[in-house]
Amino acid sequence: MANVRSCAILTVGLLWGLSRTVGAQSPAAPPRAWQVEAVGGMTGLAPNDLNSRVDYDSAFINYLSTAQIQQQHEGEMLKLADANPIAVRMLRRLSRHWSVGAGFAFFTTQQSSSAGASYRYTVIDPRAQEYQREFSQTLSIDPLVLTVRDYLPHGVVRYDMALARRLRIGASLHAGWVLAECQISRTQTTQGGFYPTRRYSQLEMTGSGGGFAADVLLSAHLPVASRFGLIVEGGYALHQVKNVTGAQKTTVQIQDGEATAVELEQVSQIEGRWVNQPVTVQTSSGPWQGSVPAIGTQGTPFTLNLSGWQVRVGVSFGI
Amino acid sequence: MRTSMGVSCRCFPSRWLVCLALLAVPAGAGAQDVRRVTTDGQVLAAAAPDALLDSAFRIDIDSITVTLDWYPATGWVDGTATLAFRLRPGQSRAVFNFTPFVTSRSAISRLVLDEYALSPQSDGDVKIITVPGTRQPFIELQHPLDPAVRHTLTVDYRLSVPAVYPRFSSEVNDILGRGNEAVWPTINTPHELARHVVTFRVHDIQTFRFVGSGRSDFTQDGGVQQWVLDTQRDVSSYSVMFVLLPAGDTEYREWLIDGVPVRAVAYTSVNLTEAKARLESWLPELRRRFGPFPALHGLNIFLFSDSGGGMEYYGGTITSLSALRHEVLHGYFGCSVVLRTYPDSWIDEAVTSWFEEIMRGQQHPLLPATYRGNWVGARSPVSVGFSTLAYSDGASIMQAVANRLGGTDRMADFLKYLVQNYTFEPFTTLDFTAYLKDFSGVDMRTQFLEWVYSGLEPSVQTSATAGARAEQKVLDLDPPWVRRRH
Repeated sequence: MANVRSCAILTVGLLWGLSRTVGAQSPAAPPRAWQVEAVGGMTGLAPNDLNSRVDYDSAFINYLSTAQIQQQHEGEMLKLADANPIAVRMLRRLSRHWSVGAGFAFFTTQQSSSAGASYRYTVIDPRAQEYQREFSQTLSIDPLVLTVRDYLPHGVVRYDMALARRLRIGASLHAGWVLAECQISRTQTTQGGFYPTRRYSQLEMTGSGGGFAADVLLSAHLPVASRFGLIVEGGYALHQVKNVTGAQKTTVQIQDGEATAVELEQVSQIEGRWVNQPVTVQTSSGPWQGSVPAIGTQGTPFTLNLSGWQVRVGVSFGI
Repeated sequence: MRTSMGVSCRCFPSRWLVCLALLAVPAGAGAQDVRRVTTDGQVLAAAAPDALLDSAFRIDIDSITVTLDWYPATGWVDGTATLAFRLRPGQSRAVFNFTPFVTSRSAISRLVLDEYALSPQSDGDVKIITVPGTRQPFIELQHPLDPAVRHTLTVDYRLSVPAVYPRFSSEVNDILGRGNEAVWPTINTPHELARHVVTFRVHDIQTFRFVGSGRSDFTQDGGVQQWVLDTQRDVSSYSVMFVLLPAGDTEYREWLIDGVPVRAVAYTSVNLTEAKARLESWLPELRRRFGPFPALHGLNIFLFSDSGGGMEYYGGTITSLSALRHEVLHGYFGCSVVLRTYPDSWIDEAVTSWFEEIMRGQQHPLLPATYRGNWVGARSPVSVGFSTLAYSDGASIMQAVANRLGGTDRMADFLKYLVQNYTFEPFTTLDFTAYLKDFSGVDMRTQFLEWVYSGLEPSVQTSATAGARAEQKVLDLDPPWVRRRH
């Protein structure tokens, strides 16, 4: 989010400086009746329900991290935090201040990360069934890939006004029906423990849904030629999809001990609504409780939240 | 062994990987495939791995005689072990399993083969070898032997056991495939049965208690407390239990329950009253269902806590109170009805889990019709350990068998049939299906192949033959005292 803000401040500053320079050289031209705009930029994202997978996997990988045992860690599970939206729109100027139009905005982003840990310790209990037990375990999640896509066909209403000789500033509302997709792709390997087990699992989840979305943006427009101008805009985009449905495929392979091939492969596929499945990880510092996206199980409704602060820059063509 | 591990379903074809692993088995097999046949002429699956097992394990042990002098204050155990054995068909060089030879070879002070002293430290006399299909190391005597006669191997060695607490006991873990080869030289595979006579001599001023897998005779030899443990019959080496504990920390009880002599050693924190109560209901149930308790000496137990796991042994168990019933049931299935290989041992765990849990009212879900596992087929017959799926999916398989037979009582009748006819007659997974067919006419071979062999027939004949050819090349290394065969 800090990136989006600093980018916005920098862009507005540049535009202001440019307007002073250009404005000193030529007189203002009246706005054209039709305007085509294309912009691109950055948006901050915090899809918490989707990112909960990262929280869970981090807890899973680090479940013995606070224990005083021999351990090694590598990598880090990363959340989806930003994206680069692009948008095109056409506006019709209705009056000196008001314009309406339609457009299409889109972004896709993906976060791929991996992490692993190994733990080793010896239990010495002279009065137990076995005097000494060796624990040696390696956990890895490689990779965890989170992907989202956001398609927003929308209508636009803009109010703008001249500021100084050439610069126009305005506020616009972009509202429409967002179509969003999300995916989780995850591979986990767990080896060892007190027994020489090896469990390999793969998870593929896809989901999609739609919902009402609105972007509220402040914009600045600076003509640099008779038909051509620069545009910068920023604001908040409210994109939430509450009814995500899709498919989940999990594959689990077991190959323990001295098995030279897979002993058992379990493949399950299910379609339905995404939910937040409550999960608990027993860690060395106590139980960690959270949730993971899942299908076909009990849980609270999953929300694909692609809202966030956005800043975009682009160009406009007058027709 | 009592544990709790995961479950799953559906499987992965792996026949070729298994075959490749088996093809690499070195050391000879005579391929003398003495096939066993059921009453209707069906060839038993056990015949298939015979040559492979012979080529890996090579010796047939008649007896294991061990003397262990334990010094609790220092943790030293000085051992002398003598194996009396014959070579298996087609073999010329003996092997054995003995962990100290691998972990601290210098602890082996004497090695005598048929009265000829060998150098334990010399690769010219004895070598550590590996066998494809298992990580278990083998000790190979480099001098070819006459297969027609009985041989003896005597080993003097020193073990180091923890001295933090004065306990010396067997610590077998069948899931890991760890047997008593940590304590004496033997062959660590379920089907290798031998009579064990182990003398324990405790050099300490405090009084100790002892229980083990067999009859034990105590004598006081000066300042040394001595127990001679005799299994009285051939048993798997990994099923031999021994426990030495300070008398001051433990309680000892002797009970006669439904005609079964029970000797129990327990830490004072364990609820022995509850243990007795459980045995008073459980042992009569087992005897009613499956016949007399198999161990000649009765049941000897060491209870180390009220909760946790346990390990079964021949006529004994080292267990928690919570696992007591499970481990005692293993006295029938696992320690007397013995499976042929470690991978096949899933059956005794499945049977035990199924029956003990059924008797507690716990149901076992049936496996889905599409279930295809490979937990026996994915392992070499010479590998150690078994699939922990035995506890869950294995119990479900037993439930499926019970359903086919008509219920719990009929299944128990079949299990009794196994006890009556195949006690100490090691058999394989597919033998189990053949015996089931003999007993009931129900043929579940196809289902078992789907469940644990990925739907494919196990095939190892080719690999065993290849191994036999390889072995022929080393026969001219005979030392002078070995009579050559022609």
